[in-house]
Amino acid sequence: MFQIVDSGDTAITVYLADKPSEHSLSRVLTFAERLKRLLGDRVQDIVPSYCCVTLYFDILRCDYFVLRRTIRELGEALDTEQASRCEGEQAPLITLPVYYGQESAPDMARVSRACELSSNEIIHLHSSQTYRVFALGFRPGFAFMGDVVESIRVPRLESPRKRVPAGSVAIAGNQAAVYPSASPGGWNLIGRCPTPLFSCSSGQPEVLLSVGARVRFQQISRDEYVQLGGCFDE
Amino acid sequence: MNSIAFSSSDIALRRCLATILNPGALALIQDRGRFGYQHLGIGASGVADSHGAGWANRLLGNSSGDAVIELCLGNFRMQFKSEGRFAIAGADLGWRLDGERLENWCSYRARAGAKLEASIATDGLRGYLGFSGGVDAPLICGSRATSQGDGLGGLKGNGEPLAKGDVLTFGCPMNSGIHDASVRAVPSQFRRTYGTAVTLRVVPSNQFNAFSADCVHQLLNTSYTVAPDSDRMGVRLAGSALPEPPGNLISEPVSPGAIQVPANGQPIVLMQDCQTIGGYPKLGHVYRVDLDRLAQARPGAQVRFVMGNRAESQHEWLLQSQFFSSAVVGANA
Repeated sequence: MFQIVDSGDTAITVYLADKPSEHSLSRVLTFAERLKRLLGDRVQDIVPSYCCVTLYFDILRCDYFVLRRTIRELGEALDTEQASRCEGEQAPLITLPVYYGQESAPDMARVSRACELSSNEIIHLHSSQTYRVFALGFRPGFAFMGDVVESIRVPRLESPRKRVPAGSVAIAGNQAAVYPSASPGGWNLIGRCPTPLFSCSSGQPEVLLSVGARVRFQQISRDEYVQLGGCFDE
Repeated sequence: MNSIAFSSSDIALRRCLATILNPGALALIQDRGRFGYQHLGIGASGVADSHGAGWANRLLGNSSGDAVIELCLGNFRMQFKSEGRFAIAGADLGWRLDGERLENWCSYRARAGAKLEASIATDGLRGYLGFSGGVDAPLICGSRATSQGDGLGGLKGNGEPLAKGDVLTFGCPMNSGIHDASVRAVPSQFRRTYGTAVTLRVVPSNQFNAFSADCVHQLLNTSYTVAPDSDRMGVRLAGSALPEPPGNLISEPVSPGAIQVPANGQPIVLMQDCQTIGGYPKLGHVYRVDLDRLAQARPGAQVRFVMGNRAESQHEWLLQSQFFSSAVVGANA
């Protein structure tokens, strides 16, 4: 699939796949990377997600038709090439420690009932999978990861919480995430991660996870959680 | 002319101060927005009405990228600690300087100790208050824009709106050339009134082809009402629901202007503080220049959509962007 669609007067979206998969992610990453190499700082931003790449441009600095042509040519090259590189192998593997204790997992009991599995089984299933980051959004540094194994897939909460603590480890449907900062949220909270995912102390953002990254969760004890800087405030 | 002689340390000494006495409903430091970080999940944010904010800067000979204060509804009060120049534009908030009524769309000079206050907007929703040289705030990802959702930007850099007791810093008036003029005014043909009805021009975008002809027909033939829970993230529209909109899709990047249609068929137009990705289908995008009008629509205002085209949408945004980023003749002497 290769389709170019306008997204308003200063953005163009390029659809590269019908549904998310390792293959779609590889196409999206390759295309985003090539766009970046070719256009660099001539465009404002290149945003990859699940099945598409959106390109934002400044109307004072870019010609729409030149951009469209560049995108089309890149797409043709992408389609004629055999995607020989296996992006998944090259992507960095990031291990996120998780304290799954009751005090950090307000939804564990409900998930456990819904899935008819013990909390230990849920922890095991959650932490024995390697996830890929398919998109960043919702809040700065919030990474949408997939796929959660089928046996622990549960829907979002019917009414979202007004405040989810920073570091909350969450699942919803086939997706997994860690809330980088306190925010409203409707996913099921099953643990807490002490690793900072986003900071902007110096005015420049530091984001741990990027689209394409591979992520594993690793169970830690309460003591380890506290030692690593985890807290139980809020 | 004289200003060339100042070194940067002199300029630093020549900063002006003012104190917020009452921020009102919502007072936010905003600029053009935070671009280039959407791939990290950081939203663009920025002024909701770029026309009103653009004039507030232009009246002062500021750069179009300088930060202004965006006031929702008004009820704002501040005091100058030193002499300063300011400009007011956008919604008319019934401004007064030391009790004296000010005309909107003009710049003024305030003496040290002067009190500037806004009552409640009589027309429009968001007023803009600019200061010569722009309002100081830390640059967070290249912008001073306040994003409450992202917790970025604003006076402290943490996304908080302005609060009582906050001290603003901005440039002092220079004693030369055009800066001596106490009042500059926007020519009357460029001043806007906002009224209670707005027509938004639409360009088909992302999922347009997934919407039925009935949906598109209904969108273009319904008079919508701005719902009270509209904000800087999105304007929610109430009206007859679009019949059977397409279902949710795999999340993809979204940006201001997108017309999202959730399952209930009531459209939402995304505004400056929208998230960077979303999963509702998008029928089209509102012209960027028309979002300025929507930003001034109060709850209860009527909204209609008409079909436009991409070329016109881009052309008008280009003209407006060029106009506000071009130097004001004589202002930078």
